[in-house]
Amino acid sequence: MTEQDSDRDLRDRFAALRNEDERLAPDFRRPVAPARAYATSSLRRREPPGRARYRAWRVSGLITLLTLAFFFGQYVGNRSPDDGPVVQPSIGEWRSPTDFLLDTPGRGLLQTLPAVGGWPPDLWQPPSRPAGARPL
Amino acid sequence: MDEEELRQALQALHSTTFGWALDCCDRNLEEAEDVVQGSYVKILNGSARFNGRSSLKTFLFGVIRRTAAEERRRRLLRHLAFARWFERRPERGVKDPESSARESERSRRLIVALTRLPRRQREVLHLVFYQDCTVDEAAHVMEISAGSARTHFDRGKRRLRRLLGNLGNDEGAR
Repeated sequence: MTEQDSDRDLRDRFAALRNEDERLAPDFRRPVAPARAYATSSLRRREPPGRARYRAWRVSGLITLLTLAFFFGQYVGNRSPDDGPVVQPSIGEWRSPTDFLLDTPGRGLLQTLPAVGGWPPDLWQPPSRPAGARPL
Repeated sequence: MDEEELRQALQALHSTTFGWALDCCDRNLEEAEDVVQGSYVKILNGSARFNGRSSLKTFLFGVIRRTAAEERRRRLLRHLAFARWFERRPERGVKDPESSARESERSRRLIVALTRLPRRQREVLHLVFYQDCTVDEAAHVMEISAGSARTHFDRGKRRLRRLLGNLGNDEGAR
């Protein structure tokens, strides 16, 4: 059986089923009568759910905006004029909050410039010899 | 399209609509009637609006499919929630004996084979062979891409032929 023959066979089977189903279908007025009654009742005047949802979103968005505007107004209104403008320190005076980490032992020594012959004399003292010891 | 025109168009499509509803409800007559009525309510009260972007038939079939899915979910939840209090309902796809008697042997075999197919394959085959829709129209009704619909169609067709062959052999063996 070719592809076309097989398709034709399936189409015939479905057509036979359709003819049988047509006899099972209820009269059109049966499902439509309650549907029309519902559609013409007060329920019809109700908004479609999609539109109602859209309106709810818009209202909630507006409420959020108004709330934010209110709190912003409160914040601006509560600022005292004595506070004055905030003065920012210049970059030359600015200190990093972690500046203390650079305070290592001997930092002072590293920042001084040694002079020839002016090195701390105690470092140049020859070690003291015990009494009676022979010189090297 | 005013209400009278819409009503006439629905009437012209009524028998095919019912056939599609039957397929969406696993051939359950009572459920299919409920689904058809629910879909007409949606269309006539304006909660499902036809905007003319597709044919009325495609639009109507989409509404039927969605309503049937809602109904299935509702029934499943009701069944899960109140299973203890309600008597056991008949299994899906099993019809009353009266309608079974009306079906010819050939159609009965087709229905049995179709119930063994995955839902998407069954839907696309129904829309193409039973409703004479194109695969693109079927894809629109099923809210899937045309490529997916074509894949479901090809696989479904192969599987249906195999199932029909097996069922024919089984009947012949008896």
